[in-house]
Amino acid sequence: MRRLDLAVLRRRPGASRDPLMVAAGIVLGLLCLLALVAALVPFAGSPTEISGPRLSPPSWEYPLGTDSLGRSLLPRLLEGIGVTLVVSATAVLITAVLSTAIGIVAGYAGGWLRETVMRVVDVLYAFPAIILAILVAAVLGAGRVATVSAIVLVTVPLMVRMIAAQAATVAHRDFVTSARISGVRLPVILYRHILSGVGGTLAVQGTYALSVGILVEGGLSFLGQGVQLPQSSLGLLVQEGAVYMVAAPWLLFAPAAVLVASILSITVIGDTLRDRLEPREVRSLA
Amino acid sequence: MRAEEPAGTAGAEAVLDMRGVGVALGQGRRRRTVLHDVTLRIEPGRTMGLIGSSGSGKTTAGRIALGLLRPDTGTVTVSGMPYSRFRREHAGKVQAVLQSPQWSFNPRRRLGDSITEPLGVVARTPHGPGRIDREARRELCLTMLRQVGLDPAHAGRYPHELSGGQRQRAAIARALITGPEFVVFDEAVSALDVAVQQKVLRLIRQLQETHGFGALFISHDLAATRIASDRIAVMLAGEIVEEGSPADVLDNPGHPYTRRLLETL
Repeated sequence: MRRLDLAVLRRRPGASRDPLMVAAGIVLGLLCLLALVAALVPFAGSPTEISGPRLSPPSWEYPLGTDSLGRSLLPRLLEGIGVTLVVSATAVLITAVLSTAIGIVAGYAGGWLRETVMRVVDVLYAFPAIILAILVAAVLGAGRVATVSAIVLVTVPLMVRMIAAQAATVAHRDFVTSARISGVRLPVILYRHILSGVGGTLAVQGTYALSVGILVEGGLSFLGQGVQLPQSSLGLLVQEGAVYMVAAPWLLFAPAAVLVASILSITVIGDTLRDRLEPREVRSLA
Repeated sequence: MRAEEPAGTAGAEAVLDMRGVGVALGQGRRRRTVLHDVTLRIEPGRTMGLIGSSGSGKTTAGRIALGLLRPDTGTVTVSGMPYSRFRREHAGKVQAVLQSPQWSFNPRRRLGDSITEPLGVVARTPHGPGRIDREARRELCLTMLRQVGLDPAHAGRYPHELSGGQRQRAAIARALITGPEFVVFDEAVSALDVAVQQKVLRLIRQLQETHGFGALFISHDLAATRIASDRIAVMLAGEIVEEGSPADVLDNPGHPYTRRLLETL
């Protein structure tokens, strides 16, 4: 059988047409790699050891300078990147699982169930993220668990909403109706047809949630409610740096730059994913 | 719901027997009667065409015939069995070919998997043949693909690799793979261009002779319905205003609405 070969039908070859996406991927990949390598082999020195003069500017020996206790900033920053990414990624993973389960069921069922879920989500969504996060930290006590829970609570509403909306769209497509007519059981329909239909939304919302997660972790740690000393995180380092902003600006600049770079690159990746995975669609009756 | 009618009073048992079906949709003030006292009877191996303009209730009638929607009044039986809470009792006996070639198949699954999906359900029902192994499924799938005029190699393809006409043929293959007694075609050829429509309609007729299923052919296209149907019912505002052979209804319409419907084409 002859196969059509039109430019429109051909898949876009790789990511080569999105230099921005490639750049973002490289930045993020490099950050992850650095953090991972530093965790395995402390090539930049120990993050907790007090080894040098206090508030020393960047030098050959201390590439990013030293902090107010005389600890080298570079290993602390590397540890911070790792902690922030792990905390955010864990939270986003939990969010993704929760939101997918809730969103798929609510979106497919529709009716009062979806309305109820949506109203609860609206209430959560109405709180400013950081207030909600502080509330969680206050209840659970500052630390990693609180940070992860806070990120989950902050990112779940949007994700549930988007996935429920997409699931509702997919639920009305003819192939789902056909499966229902054939007598396919509900859990199978949800898994086989709806889940695969919300995959794109999940990927896009997941990346957005990751950037929100990093931001919330930063905010919480900045307020002293997140990751606790002596462990470092990006937010914690920014907070420390802010204290010596005038005397030692490098202490603020480096972690803030990394924070911005990671959030920016994740957002760029999310935007590109959205353009690719969520094409405009034509709807039809079910 | 009861099935009080003794089956098979007039010759063979009807594959679809809808009696006095009425339904209202919507909530509160927006609640509207969509169907009023609709009675349809389809004999085995025969096709009932259901025509009417948009919003006349054709699709709702189809949904009720498929058991996707419960009527407020009246009874529906398929091969003498009313729809129960569990659709699985009808699994494999009732199938449908729906409107949109674009979404007739899950875009992320291979056609072969989609076409054999109904088999998986039938295998696990009490009246089913028990487990159908992989090889048997594959064999059935390839047979069905050949019967609907598609290259068996299409089983390994994804829906986006096929044209709209090919996808509707594949949808017919999926509908017939369980050997159903009753098939609903809901605007099944409306999205196809005229030449392809003709081919698919002829295919449906031909398959009906070999498989012997009864069919409800819902369409707003009179020419297509004439080719596909043995009898035609005309719907207007949720009621059947005329029913008869295609020649009677389309060449000699009794109801003024049918005449108007014909004139608009």
